[in-house]
Amino acid sequence: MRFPLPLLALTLALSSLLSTAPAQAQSTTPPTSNASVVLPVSGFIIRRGKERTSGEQPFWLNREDCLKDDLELLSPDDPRATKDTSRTVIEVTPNLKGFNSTMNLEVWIGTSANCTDSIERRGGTTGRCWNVYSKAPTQSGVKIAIRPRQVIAQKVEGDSWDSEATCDLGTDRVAITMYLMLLKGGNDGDVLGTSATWDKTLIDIAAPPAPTDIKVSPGDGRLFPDWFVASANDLEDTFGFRFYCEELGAGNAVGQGGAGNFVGQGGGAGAPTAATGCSSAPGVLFQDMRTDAIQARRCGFATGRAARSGQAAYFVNENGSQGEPLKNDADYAIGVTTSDLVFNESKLSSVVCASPKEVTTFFEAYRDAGGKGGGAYCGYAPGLGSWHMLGLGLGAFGLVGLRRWRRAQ
Amino acid sequence: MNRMFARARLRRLPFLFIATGLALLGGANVALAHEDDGPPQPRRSRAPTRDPAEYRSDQNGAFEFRLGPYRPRIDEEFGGGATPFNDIFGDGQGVLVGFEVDWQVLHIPHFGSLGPGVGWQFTTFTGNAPFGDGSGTSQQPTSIWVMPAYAVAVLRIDALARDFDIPLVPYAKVGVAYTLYEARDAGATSVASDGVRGSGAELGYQMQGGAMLHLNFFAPQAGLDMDAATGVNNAYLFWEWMYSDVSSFGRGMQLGASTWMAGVAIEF
Repeated sequence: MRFPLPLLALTLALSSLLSTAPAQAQSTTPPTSNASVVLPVSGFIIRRGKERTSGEQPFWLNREDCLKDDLELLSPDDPRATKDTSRTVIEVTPNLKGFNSTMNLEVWIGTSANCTDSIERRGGTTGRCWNVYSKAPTQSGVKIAIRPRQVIAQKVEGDSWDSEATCDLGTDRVAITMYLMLLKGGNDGDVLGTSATWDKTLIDIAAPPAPTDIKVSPGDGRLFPDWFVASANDLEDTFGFRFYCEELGAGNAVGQGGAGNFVGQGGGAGAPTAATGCSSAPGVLFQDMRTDAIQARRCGFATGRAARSGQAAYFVNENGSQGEPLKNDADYAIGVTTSDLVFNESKLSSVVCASPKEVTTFFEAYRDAGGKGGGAYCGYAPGLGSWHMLGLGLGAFGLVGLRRWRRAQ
Repeated sequence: MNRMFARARLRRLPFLFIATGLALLGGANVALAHEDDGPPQPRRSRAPTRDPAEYRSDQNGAFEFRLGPYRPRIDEEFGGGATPFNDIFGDGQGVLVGFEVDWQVLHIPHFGSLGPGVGWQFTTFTGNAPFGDGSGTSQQPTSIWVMPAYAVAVLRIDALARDFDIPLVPYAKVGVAYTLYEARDAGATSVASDGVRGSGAELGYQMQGGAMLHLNFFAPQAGLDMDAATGVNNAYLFWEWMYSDVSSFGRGMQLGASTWMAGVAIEF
């Protein structure tokens, strides 16, 4: 088949016209290489009532962060955002360059998906991506507030996630990556320029299992709980164990032993005995309760994954200082929880009862028998007075003399 | 002057002749004995040409790592009327671990060394406190740590090892003892019902006598090498008996003991 020459020339002219049209349309798009988002380490903060140290995984989100989620999502510039220590909020401050009013600054979070890919953002093929912020940027160092609960929920807009139940959904630790991107044309648009990512955050809201077989022994103004942790529950990220105490009302006899005695059968000789119940039911503490509302009942802590016993001597104030001491002959209910490295706390163990009871320590027994020792280091050798110093002086003098004599030799 | 030299040479001449003759005889004997072995060789002595002591570095002090059973004689304060230590900590022994450093100021040839030494030791005892009403023993720990320190004059008689090839160095020490202690329960210093804190220090005296086994005797070359490389002259194992009375002369807690100690020692 042959093309007539004029028809061929017309075809070429049309095709050349068509091919130049898209090139002109692309040229209207702003050059993407100028736009960039940078997120320095100092630009990511999880603001909490009690800041965590570097050893306490400050960038990880725990169950308490979820519960104390800032429901109002106050602007970081709102004075209440920094004064209200009961709120937890994620503050991100990226540095933007090359942006304009036609762009959107968006923050996406993904689990194993690359959220810079618009296909992943639309539905995802390898993981999940969900949007937690979208707004046209107005300045380079814009502060972004993100609710922890929305990050923890791993839910896209429109899904139901905004309830405390979200904070009890987690079973495993989840690593997330935060993407900060400048987009044009909404979620389906392409990323303009370079984006920033943040991958130092993990979601860890799963509380470890509570210890079992709680037993308690009395001491002088203190109780000595011990417990059992099954090997399957002996988790690597266990940080320690917390104790919660409740003083039972006056006249509430404990166990079979009567008031003032160790709970259990007949008071016993102090050997740990499983107390399966108190004669007067505790008013606050009960097995499997969440401890968020009874922090004022904290009465001790045992640090270490391997700890299997500890002592409760004082209630713990909100700031961590010692509060009211436990009293001898008063009846106390006590329960134990397990805490992990990011302070996720298990439900309360079974609750047992006991009464602190006076003991005789070695030094008390020694002094009661008429021993003359003690009195602190400055009170040594009472009655010898300056003879000590004289002896030391003579000794030093003798050493110097020996040295001189030896040099002379 | 020349005459004097000439006379001296004349006087020595008979000796020179005798010496030369003996040497020749000896050489002939060797030659006769080994006729087929070729020309006679000079005799080689198996004895060391120099005293090994010449290779040793200066010796100025000693260091001991020491340990042994220890049980303070606290209950002796009460003359049998009470035994608070035994009641709570039982009748076992603690393990006293420590070290001693001596300065060997004086070296007496063919006898030994004399000088001051200081030592530091530590041990602890832990038990469970009994209930005040006598109904048994609680789980509440009660403990006491004891830190005996002392300054002694040290006499080490090394003549046996140096002059008679007997690898034993008897020694004796005598001096003052100063022992810190603290009674603790449930993580804090004990306070008695009369308000007295359970910490303090007692002064006293102590005596030690024992013997050290000279390890260089069993490996002399290794001993010389060690000295050349590290400056350690001698290494020992030792065993001693120690007696101490540390109660501030009856005015405080009796922390003295009568026990044995053993360990390793080096001189440098």
